[in-house]
Amino acid sequence: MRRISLIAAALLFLMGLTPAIPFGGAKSAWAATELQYLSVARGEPRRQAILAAIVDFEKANPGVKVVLSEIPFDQYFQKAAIALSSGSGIDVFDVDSPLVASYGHQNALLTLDKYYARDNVQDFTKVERDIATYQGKMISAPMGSTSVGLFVNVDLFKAAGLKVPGTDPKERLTWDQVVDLARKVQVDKSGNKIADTWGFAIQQYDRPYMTLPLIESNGASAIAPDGTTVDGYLNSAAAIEAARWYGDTFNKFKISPREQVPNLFYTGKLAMYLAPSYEANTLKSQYPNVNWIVAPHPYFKKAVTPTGAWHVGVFAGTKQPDLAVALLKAYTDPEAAKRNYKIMNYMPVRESTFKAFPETFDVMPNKLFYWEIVNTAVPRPRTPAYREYEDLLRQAFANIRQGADAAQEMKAATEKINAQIRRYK
Amino acid sequence: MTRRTRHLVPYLFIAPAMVGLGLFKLYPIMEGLRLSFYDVRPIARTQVFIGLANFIELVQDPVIVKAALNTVLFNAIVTPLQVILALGLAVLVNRQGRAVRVFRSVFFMPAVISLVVASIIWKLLYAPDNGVLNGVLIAVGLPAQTFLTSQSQAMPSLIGMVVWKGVGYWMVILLAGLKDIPESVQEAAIVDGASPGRRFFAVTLPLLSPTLLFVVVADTVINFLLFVPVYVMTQGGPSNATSLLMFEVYRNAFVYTRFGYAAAVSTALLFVIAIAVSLQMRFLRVEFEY
Repeated sequence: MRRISLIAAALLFLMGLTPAIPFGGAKSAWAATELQYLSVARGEPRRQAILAAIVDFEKANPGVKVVLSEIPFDQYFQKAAIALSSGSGIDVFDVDSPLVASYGHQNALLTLDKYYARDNVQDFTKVERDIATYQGKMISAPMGSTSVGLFVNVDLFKAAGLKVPGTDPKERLTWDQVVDLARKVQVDKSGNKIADTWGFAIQQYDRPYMTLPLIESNGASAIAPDGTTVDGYLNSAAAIEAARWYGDTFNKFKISPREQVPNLFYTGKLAMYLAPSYEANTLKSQYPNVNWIVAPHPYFKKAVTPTGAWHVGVFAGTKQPDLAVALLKAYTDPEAAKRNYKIMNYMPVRESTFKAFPETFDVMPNKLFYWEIVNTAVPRPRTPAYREYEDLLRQAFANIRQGADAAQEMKAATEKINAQIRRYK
Repeated sequence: MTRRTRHLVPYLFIAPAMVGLGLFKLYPIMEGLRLSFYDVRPIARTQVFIGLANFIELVQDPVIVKAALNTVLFNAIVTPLQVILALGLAVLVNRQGRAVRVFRSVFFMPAVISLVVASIIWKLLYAPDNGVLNGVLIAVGLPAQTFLTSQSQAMPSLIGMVVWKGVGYWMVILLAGLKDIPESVQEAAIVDGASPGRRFFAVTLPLLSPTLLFVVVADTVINFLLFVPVYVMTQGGPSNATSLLMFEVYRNAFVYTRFGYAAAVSTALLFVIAIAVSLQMRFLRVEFEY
């Protein structure tokens, strides 16, 4: 009896230690070559684009199975960092376009030059080619892009007796004109000094994606050309002046709510909304009652618009680089890019895609977005410390929005960002 | 089975639990401690031993120093406030009746709401221009407040939300403690002519002290490790006014990918919690049982 209990205890102990062993179906799983794709979860119908690429790839490469891991956006960067550091569970992955330089600096991305014909590369828009290139080498493939415009509620302008802004780049408003119009169109029915209908708001209002074009439009740069410092750039007089104007929209002009209010434009309670191109899809499909147009992104001294979205890269440590690149190309080459556009409705990254859909890109607002991508788009700074840069500048703009002094915040952000950039030297 | 091998049986039975504890608790703690002496670049997959450099940097880092002060202040206010309010509510609902059951449920309700959801709701309530709270203030003729958007009001606003969220949970635990106190002891005090106040301080509170000690220690640990409301409501702002150490651990590990530095902050936090808890155990320890 004692012996039996001892054996039972030993067995229990071993069961506790041993991971579950799959008996059925394990053989076939081991037999296939697997490629791991780490992707941002895009939801339906957008995820159909990557699924279609996987079907194409698996058809062209019998015996190779793609394992797709879809991670929610707010957890994606942590999961990608962990996968890259462990070197497992990742062969191909989505790359947020401003992080290309950061991954490149850390040798996480495979160089793609030898896999690409010149025509194929030249088909990408210039701004996306630049983003995909780090130290002269192409290390990612652009997949989708964005532009930004000033969404205008036509009915609110008409109700206020104001002329609706034009949609042609030649009719681009200055930021001073926007403030003037916002003050006129804004409505405070209850008289409590809090607007019922707001004049102006910025989507993602603290993020450098939206705030950097303000300072760049005022003549400042986001970073030194060699990417080694922000001193003399983010703390320049022009940058501080633009940042102060940004704070004034909330605190002095009082044309913008200090906290992001969801759906304000969709529900007709916002007259002008500086927002990315994909908002047009949302408005068309979900809010057909809103009467809107898109005016060009306003400016201070010169027109600058945000751009960039998602690229795809191959992990430099992959054991199957050729197959991984084949999967990447199945998702991003010209024909796949056209299909991606039809499914995902992202702004394209290839000239051939723009040309393939004249019914879309020869009419507003996409005609305007395409024009901005070609003529005024400036990518976010290419620095290995971009995540730190983004977070610290976002904090500075959040503080300015909440009433902090612009000069003090921009100077403090400059010091903090430089300290982070130095870590990568 | 010999006498010697018989001794091994209990150890074998607890071995799986010990292995789990070692693997999922002790190992990560030791690994965190080890990493705090390294400059870790996870994506580049490099680890360089840098001795105490992370710890030297963190005591000189104004953001971490501010977060440490915030964390201590936050705990010094939230924990006593939660425990006192929870105790008060537990005493109030420690009786029979349908209405009392309704109140118990109402007080406990915040505890069953997800912390993320609660944080989002409170963020909307606190919104300075379109929030419900300012709507109410304006309606009754009071000036609108800045709440989470000003340095002076952000921390009190955060504390308000966290206290609201936690009180109901601790109330239930204290209520269980109150139910455990034998009625005969209370009856004896009544027979002796003790007033309700005297009964509370001389009978209820001392007999509740084992439960109270658990609540104080557990609440302290939870509040030191609080992360979600800061992440959802303020991201540590404005100007780091609501940044707590756990949020800085997250920010350094997963935004700046400085795993070594984040591990050093985490290690420092572990020591702060250990000191706080050992002080509580020392001063609130109970020597008797009933």
